[in-house]
Amino acid sequence: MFGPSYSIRANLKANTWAFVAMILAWAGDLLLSLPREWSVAQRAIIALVPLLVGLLWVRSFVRWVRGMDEMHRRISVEACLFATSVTLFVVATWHILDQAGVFQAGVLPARLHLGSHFHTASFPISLVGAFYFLGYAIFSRRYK
Amino acid sequence: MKNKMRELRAAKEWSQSDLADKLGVSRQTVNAIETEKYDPSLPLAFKAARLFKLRIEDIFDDNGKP
Repeated sequence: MFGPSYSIRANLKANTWAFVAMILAWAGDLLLSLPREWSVAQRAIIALVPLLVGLLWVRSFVRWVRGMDEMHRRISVEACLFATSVTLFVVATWHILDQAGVFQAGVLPARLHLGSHFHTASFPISLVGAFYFLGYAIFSRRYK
Repeated sequence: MKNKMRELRAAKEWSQSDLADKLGVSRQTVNAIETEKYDPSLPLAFKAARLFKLRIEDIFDDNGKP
């Protein structure tokens, strides 16, 4: 499915399900924010669909990484560690600021709804995706 | 780690892509090894040694690092 070489095209192909999960997560957040009564089952389905799609992404990603040669696998693993650790740091910081009431204090523009973003699944999913690509760009430079 | 991959490849008149195909890795990985920016794993080093019919220490030199 994927060769030993790295390419942006192969990266995008392998991460297609991540983009789908991200879009579904954003759509789910939008649906649940609508002024409409959702049943518990409907809410659960809307909330869980992006995570199920996320499992498809994991399968695709594992196949991609297994097909890589050892150098690109190392870069990918480093990018994954970078993405998860930075996301954890950002989400933890966001939570601490939210708990401290920073987002309610009017320090930041209310129209950004920054505090509310923390509670959505799409927030960490988007961060992991963005930091993975950033991490890959940073770590691959080391071997060029 | 210093290595003689580029000289050995040139002696065989192989391109980086040729060597990459023979080793089962990408051309970028061959380039990173030749420019000494990436140290190959032991299985890959053995594969290279077998390919050039040499010992690993004839290709790779770690300057006696422990």
